[in-house]
Amino acid sequence: MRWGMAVDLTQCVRCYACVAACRIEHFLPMGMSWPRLVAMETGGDSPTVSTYSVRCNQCQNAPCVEVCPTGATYQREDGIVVIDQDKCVGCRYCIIACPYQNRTFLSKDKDKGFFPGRVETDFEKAGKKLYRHQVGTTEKCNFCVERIDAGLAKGLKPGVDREATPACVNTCPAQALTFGDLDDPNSEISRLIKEKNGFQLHPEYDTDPSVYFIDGKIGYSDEPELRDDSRQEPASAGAER
Amino acid sequence: MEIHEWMINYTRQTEWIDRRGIFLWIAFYAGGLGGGLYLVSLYFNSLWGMFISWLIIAVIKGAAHLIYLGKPLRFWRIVFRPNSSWLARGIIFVLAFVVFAAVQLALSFWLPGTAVEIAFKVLAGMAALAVTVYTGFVLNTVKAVPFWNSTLLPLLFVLCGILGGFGLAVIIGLNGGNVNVAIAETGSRWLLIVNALLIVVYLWAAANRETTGKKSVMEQMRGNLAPVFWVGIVALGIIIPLAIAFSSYFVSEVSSALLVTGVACEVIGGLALRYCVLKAGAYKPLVAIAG
Amino acid sequence: MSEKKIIKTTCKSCHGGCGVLVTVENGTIIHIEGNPDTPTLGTMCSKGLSSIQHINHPDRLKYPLKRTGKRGEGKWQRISWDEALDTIESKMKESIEKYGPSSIAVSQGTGRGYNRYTHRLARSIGTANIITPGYICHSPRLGMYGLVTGYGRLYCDYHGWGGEFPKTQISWAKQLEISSADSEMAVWFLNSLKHVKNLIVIDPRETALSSRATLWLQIRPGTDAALALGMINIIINEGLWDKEFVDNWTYGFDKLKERVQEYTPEKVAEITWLKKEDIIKAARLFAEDTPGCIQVGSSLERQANCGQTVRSIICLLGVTGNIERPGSMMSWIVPDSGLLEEFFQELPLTDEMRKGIVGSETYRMGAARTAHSDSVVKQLVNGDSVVKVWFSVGGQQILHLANTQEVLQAIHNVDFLVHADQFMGPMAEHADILLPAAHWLEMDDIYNMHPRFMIEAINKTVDPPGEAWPDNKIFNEVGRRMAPDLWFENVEKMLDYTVRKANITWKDFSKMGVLAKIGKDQIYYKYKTDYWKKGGGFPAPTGKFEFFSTVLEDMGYDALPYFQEPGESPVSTPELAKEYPLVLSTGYRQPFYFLSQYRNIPWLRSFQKDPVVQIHPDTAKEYGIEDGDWAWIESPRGRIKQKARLFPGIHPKVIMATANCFNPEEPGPLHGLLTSNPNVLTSNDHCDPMFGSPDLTALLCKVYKVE
Ligand SMILES: Nc1nc2c(c(=O)[nH]1)N[C@H]1C(S)=C(S)[C@@H](COP(=O)(O)OP(=O)(O)OC[C@H]3O[C@@H](n4cnc5c(=O)[nH]c(N)nc54)[C@H](O)[C@@H]3O)O[C@H]1N2
Ligand SMILES: Nc1nc2c(c(=O)[nH]1)N[C@H]1C(S)=C(S)[C@@H](COP(=O)(O)OP(=O)(O)OC[C@H]3O[C@@H](n4cnc5c(=O)[nH]c(N)nc54)[C@H](O)[C@@H]3O)O[C@H]1N2
Ligand code: SF4
Ligand code: SF4
Ligand code: SF4
Ligand code: SF4
Ligand code: SF4
Ligand SMILES: [Mo]
Repeated sequence: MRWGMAVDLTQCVRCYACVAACRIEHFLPMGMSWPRLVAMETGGDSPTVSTYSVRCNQCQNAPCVEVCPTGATYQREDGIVVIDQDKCVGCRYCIIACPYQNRTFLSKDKDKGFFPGRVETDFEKAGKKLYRHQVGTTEKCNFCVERIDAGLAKGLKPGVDREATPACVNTCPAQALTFGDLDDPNSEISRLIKEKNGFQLHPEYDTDPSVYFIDGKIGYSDEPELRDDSRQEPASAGAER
Repeated sequence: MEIHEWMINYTRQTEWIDRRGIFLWIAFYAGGLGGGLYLVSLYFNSLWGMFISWLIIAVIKGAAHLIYLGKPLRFWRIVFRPNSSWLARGIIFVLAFVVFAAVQLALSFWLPGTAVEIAFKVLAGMAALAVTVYTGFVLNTVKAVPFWNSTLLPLLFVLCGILGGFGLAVIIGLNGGNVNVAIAETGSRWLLIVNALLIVVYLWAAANRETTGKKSVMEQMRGNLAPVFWVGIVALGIIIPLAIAFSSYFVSEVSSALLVTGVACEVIGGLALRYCVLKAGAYKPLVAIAG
Repeated sequence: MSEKKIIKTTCKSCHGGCGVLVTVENGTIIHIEGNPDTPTLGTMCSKGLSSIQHINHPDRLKYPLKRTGKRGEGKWQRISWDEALDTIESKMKESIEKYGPSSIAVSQGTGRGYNRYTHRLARSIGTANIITPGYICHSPRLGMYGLVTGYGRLYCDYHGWGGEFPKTQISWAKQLEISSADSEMAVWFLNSLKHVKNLIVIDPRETALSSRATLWLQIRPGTDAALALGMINIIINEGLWDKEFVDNWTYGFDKLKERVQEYTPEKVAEITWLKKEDIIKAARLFAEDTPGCIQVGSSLERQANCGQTVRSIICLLGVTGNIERPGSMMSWIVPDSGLLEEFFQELPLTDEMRKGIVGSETYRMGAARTAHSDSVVKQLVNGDSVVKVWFSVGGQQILHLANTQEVLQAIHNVDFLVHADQFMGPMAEHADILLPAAHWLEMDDIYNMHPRFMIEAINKTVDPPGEAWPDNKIFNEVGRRMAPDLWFENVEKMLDYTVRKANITWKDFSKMGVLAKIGKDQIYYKYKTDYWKKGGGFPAPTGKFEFFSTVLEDMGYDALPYFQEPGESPVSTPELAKEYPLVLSTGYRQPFYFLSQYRNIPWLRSFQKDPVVQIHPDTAKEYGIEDGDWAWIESPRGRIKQKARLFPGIHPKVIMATANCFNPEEPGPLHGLLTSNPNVLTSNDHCDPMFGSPDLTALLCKVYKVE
């Protein structure tokens, strides 16, 4: 089992819903954003508006796991890279090492509250009890492990049953995000990646991300040579794994 | 920065240099300088030098690391994954050095010349070397930052540390420590030349490997970092100390004030070098922009 | 003991309609997400989700306030609801006594689910001076659909309920994908794109959709009527029209045929800045690959030639037979509750009301049932205003009407202004009495989808802050004082009344959540049945789909569509264009703001702090502007500054400014609107002859860097 996500770039309409959904799902502090949108446009003869909804790629060979001196960052059996917030010392080596810059250090100024110095909203108060963020530690997208674990415990299937599926995937009005098991050749996500030639970001780093992108009109590497290499060897997905 | 205006262009690493990140910069340099000084002091068998290097590593470097951490009280956890993390290894080296060198200093003070003392000198020396080297590996293993991802970097950091060590040794010698100032100066001179060459080769290689590395180099030569690069590294770190060193070579007697100035410049140069290396470290854009 | 429950409700943070699940624990909302068991399939956008930050916002208005200082001075005194309502009642009654009921205006902003209350309140008082942005948003479309087909509402059939999805879709001046405009939800539209063969985007700007479109027509703003007529020209002259539909079910085809002859592809290409081949291609695709539908965007209605533009587009639908067939344009059958508009339509417009409508003699389409806002403004400025008392609920005319300087003056000249809002925006700042309104998470109400095939329950999840009231309660309480017979004992009774035709009570409906006619319940090809007319046909005067509008002819307007240059353009005012060389459009929607709303919601503001003006890189270079610079945008009316975003996807001769903006954090009463809001630049001097709509999205301007 290896959880993965496919982001269909032709579907995404740059609406920011995924970003908002994650903030609510995880009671994210004001300065924190686990998923982000990389917004790009080109001119020329075939002008393109393109939006990459990105988040931690849950790399199989994760540099962040490798460099973490405490073991706070580790990889689960199912491929998800998680951070044990109680072990993290905030050395930020993982932030440095992530080629995708998908990690954020929660400094004090990122946790000033929604309305600093004015009120603490009911939601924030509830969040403090339900989802403890620790200033001084590093955070990132966790593929909504809480939903996955709770869902699996109920016998639900992540990517199929909403309750077991990441919040951002559920909310996307364009259905641009697909979640599922990359190891299962019959899963929707494996099929999509295979049929539509899904690609990973920066394959040259050998990180083997679990997040794939589909139909990128605007390229995926700034090194033309490397880009061609990875074309020859289409990103292997579920079936081959 | 709005959350979509990021990783589109050359994106600098900020965590390890901006704001609180300056402590990491100090820690990294202190490691090189302290380790270098210890090694040089071993060569001259200068107890003062060893003691000062111990202070630099145990106090300055240690404190800077602690202050930098988000959760300093969990400091002890950092040593858990030496199998893969250079940071874990580094901290183990630091701890080893602090212990070995402390024992060695005590032995050298009370039981000089004994086999144990020599054994601890060797142990502490190895730890010191490791402390000098490891920061280079911490950075050089980060594939994501092409500017750092070069085998020359650890070498550069070691040489730069030893250079600083020779510099400090000169000062210790001038202040009556048992350091042969002339030899220390010669060491300084050669190392300065090698160092300067290495910097040139390093930058040249980085600029020619790929685009992001090239941008990192450009940023130093012409961009925001240019003042630090030209004044800090080139002028203060190389030209002035070299000028002083060579004048002492030709003019047999140079004033100690001038020598001290040279050493101070070298230290600033070393700091500037780490600063630039950290500050110019950048990631490739997440996805390429056409055209 | 902690008590946790999940409440089903309906979001209306935009025009609204997403089904929502709200988790409430001990009276606090701890989670919110889409409800998968509703027609929006559990999707939600950033605005609806960020309601969490909205409801506990420290700036929420909590108590009724009375102005104590000068208007707009920001001096307030807290008063009780009783005092507030007493004052409103006496002011209104006094004004009716002195000047007649038409002296009272009731206003709202864009549809926020309470249109029917606004209208009922006005009519129950005896006035039809209802001020709404409808005439620049949705109403011209509905009005024209009404004239041509006899039925007022046509929507794209995205749903495939008739077994077919649209094969060719035209997205015309619309960003439905992020606007869910008029409750045609983005999720439905986006889903239908999985089945589309040709997607044609007509927009001066590139959008997320244009990149994947079969054809993108980068049109000159304000020339859309010419394009539509040119397409009809090609379709007719190439014999591509739908003969069956045209021969049997339409009126005036020959006259239309004659009219469009002047719109040759060459001429249209010149007018619109498009390539002739592209126009031809679009026409052929739309005529040949049917069924097809056109989403008409409100940018077309914010133009002084909007009536004819919309009419041309409807004729294009007619010649291609894209009416009432599965996958084309549909008028949906309403749910068992009946048409909720009856809630106000049951109070008829009297002749006296009609006569009192400001602007009704001039703009006989736009000001037939509601007032013409710009005429109200002009009268107030001139001091001969019919309107004396203004009761405003959730709309900011100060921001949304053309020519801000005049609007401001007008607002200062109103005798008595009441405003109900959630926050202290520029409009609220100018009120005499300010009423605190509840958020949708804090109220019980019935949500009426614009396409009218369903209604949804809005169920209260938490209490409003302080003494804030839901709008329906505000309307009902004011109504009860002004016209006791026509209003209700309480809100629950009013809601019971609203759904009575479905033989259910509000409580029942509240549990049901959705009442809809979807899938097999819908009837296609109604004109071929007795649905509208015995023996088939349309409910229009001729019983046919009217290419030649008999109603417009009777009203003295041109009965056939035509193209008219915008009031200000390189063609109509070439002299002016020398000083103001760029075409200015205002008003592309941001996915995370709703008009001027949500700039005070931290999560949403984090996506784009400052209003952005899109400029082509070449144009920017010419004017020395770099990405991220502040740029002045100047028109003959004034200047504002927005942040320049160099955008290769916009036409080099066009710039696009963000509309409806002010900065809540800047000092009142105007909160920086004079330097940020594009209506400082727009003109209310030339208006559509039928609807009175001013040019908001096709003007002239110049830009330069803020030094
Ligand atoms: N997120 C969000 N959703 C909203 C709103 C919001 O503010 N935010 N506002 C709501 C309201 S009140 C409305 S009316 C709707 C409007 O929503 P839509 O009708 O979807 O329209 P807009 O985004 O205003 O504009 C659509 C496009 O028209 C283009 N355009 C401008 N001028 C012209 C022209 O002359 N010709 C053509 N062909 N295209 C032109 C613009 O470039 C823009 O891309 O959205 C509603 N939904
Ligand atoms: N230049 C230019 N001008 C335009 C446009 C454009 O594109 N360009 N667009 C036009 C269009 S299409 C429209 S629809 C108008 C819209 O204009 P408006 O609808 O007037 O928009 P806002 O200025 O956002 O004002 C809405 C007010 O309602 C309050 N509010 C929100 N929800 C509620 C509620 O539930 N109850 C109450 N009581 N108050 C509430 C908000 O706090 C805010 O103060 O603007 C028009 N003006
Ligand atoms: S929610 Fe979907 S469409 Fe919206 S930005 Fe995210 S991925 Fe794109
Ligand atoms: S994307 Fe970055 S944070 Fe996520 S697993 Fe890969 S390296 Fe680690
Ligand atoms: S910041 Fe935390 S998670 Fe990251 S490397 Fe350091 S200890 Fe590990
Ligand atoms: S998968 Fe979950 S944690 Fe990751 S971005 Fe999406 S919502 Fe956030
Ligand atoms: S699209 Fe509209 S109704 Fe749906 S969640 Fe967003 S704001 Fe609410
Ligand atoms: Mo609107």
